[in-house]
Parts: sequence; C-alpha cells; structure tokens
Amino acid sequence: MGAESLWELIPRRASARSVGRAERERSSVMESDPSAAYDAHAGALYRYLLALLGEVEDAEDALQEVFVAFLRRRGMTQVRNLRAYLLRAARMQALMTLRRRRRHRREREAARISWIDTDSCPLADRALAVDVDRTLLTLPLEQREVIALKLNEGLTFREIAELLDIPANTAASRYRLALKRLRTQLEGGEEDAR
Amino acid sequence: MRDRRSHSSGDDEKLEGLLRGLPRREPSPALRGRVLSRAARRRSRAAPAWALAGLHLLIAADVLVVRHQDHALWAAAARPPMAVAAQTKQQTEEGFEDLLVVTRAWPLHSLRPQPEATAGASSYLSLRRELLKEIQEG
Repeated sequence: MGAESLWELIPRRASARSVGRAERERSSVMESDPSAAYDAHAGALYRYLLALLGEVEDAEDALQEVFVAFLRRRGMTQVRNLRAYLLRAARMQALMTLRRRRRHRREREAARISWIDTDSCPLADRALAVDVDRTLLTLPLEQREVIALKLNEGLTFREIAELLDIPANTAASRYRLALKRLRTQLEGGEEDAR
Repeated sequence: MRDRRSHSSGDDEKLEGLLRGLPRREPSPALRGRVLSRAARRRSRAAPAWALAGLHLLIAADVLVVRHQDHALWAAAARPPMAVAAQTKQQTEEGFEDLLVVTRAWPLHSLRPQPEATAGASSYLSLRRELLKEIQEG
C-alpha cells in the first residue's frame, strides 16, 4: 500500500487513487442503501463501542447517533472505506460519551460488560467466558480497544494505528501488553481456583 | 508439565484463538428498526422545512407586490376623518363631485404607478376650468 491512508475521507471529485475499485464500489453501494450499510457494519461498531463504553445503553445510543449522522450525510462525501469511516465516527462518539460521563461524574465510569456474549455460551464454556469477560474489563481502555479491533474486526496494526492516531509500534505494543495481562490474570484465576 | 507462565508466541496464539472463539454480542433487532426509522424521519423532515420557507416567501411576495398593485393596501389605508371631510367639502364647493373618488385617492397614489384615471382627471379639470371661463366671459 502507498502513502495514502485507507481511512481518509475524500471529496467526491477526487476519488481516483489508491483503494481498490471493488472496495470503492462496495462502499458506494452500501452508502446508497442504509439497511445494507447497517447490516454490514452495525455488529462491528457495536462491539467496538462496547469495548470503549462497557455499557449496553450507551453503546446503543452511540451506535444510533453514528448511523443517523452517517445516513444524513450520505452523498455529501465519498467514503473510500466505509468500515473505517464508521469506526472512526464511532470512536469520536464514544469519546464524547466518556467526556460527558466524566463531566457529570457518573459512578459507572468503569466498564461493566465487554463484547463477549456470556449468556449464549455453551454451559461447558460459560465459566471460562465469564472469566475472560471480567478480565477484559480490567484492561486499560487503550489496550481493550486494540484487542477489540484486532481480534473482533481483524484490523492490522497499521489500520489500528491510523484509527487511533498513534504509531503502529505503539498499537502493537499495546496489543502485546494486553495479551500478557490477560494471560497472567486468567492463569492466576485458574491457579487460585485450584 | 508445560510452564504456563512462559510468554511464548504459542501461548499468545492460543489465547487469541480462545478470545476469537467466544460468542460475541450483537445489536438487538429493535435497535436496527429504531436507527433506520430515525434516519428516514430526519431526512423527510428536511423537505417541509424548505417548503415552509418557500411558502413564507410566496406569502411575502403576495402581500408586498401583488396585493399592493391590486389596490388592497391602498384600500386598507386609513385616512384622518378631518382631512377627508375638508377635502370633500372643498371639492363639493368646486362642483367636481364626479371626481371625488379619484381625487381622494391621490396622496396614496404616489406609492404605486400613477393610474390613468388620475392623469385623465387633471386634464379634465383644466379643460373644464377653461370651458367655465369661456362661458363666463361669454
């Protein structure tokens, strides 16, 4: 890939470069069909918002705001990579929510749930899923979001770095630190249980 | 037994596999309906806003231009009763009762293009004065 960013928003008339034609066409079809865009991206956005906000209500509110704003602006800009655009918008919305929480000094600043659906887990794995869920919630926000983007959405470190405006090495080191912390806590939990 | 605290890449891969394999939350179907209907509602609201602005412009144009030219504004303008009475008396004395309506209207005629009736009236008055003078002179 060249120097051009996958995550960039570009004016409609300057759409000729870099990203593959198929990706542009796919984005443009989704842009023109709101329900297709929602079906394709809502899950990823929701899980990312849960990773950032740790609350179902706040994540749903943020998801609504992101999609309504996007659907209202349809046609005003050409989005080169719709998923990247929506993830960035979701992040901005989540940061606004977090700022509002801090301003109002709400008690529920700490995340309560992660993106793991423990209820739909088979019984045999449920205890493990609950452990993982709780452990994810102990991670710092910046590590939790890198884990969510890498494991849930399969983004590369470069894409994560562009989304978060950090160097790719920082994204990679946050990921490794998060994995290390998760492993330590999960192993500690198992040992404690014995 | 394997050392579980060793931080090998194999352990990382195992943990990654575990995290990927767990079921993930999905947004509720009700949320989908809410988002799409809210987006549609907001888009459809934009048109009436423009339509309302256009309607206001049309009404303003009608009031200021069309109705004014159609004498509605002129007809609605109030005049002090004393001024009307004095003017009427003067014109009656001069014997031009047939021109009363046109003459009454002249102060407001300056707001709009001069009607033909007014121009005609002034030439008619001067003609009539000349005729009266000729009759008196005999």
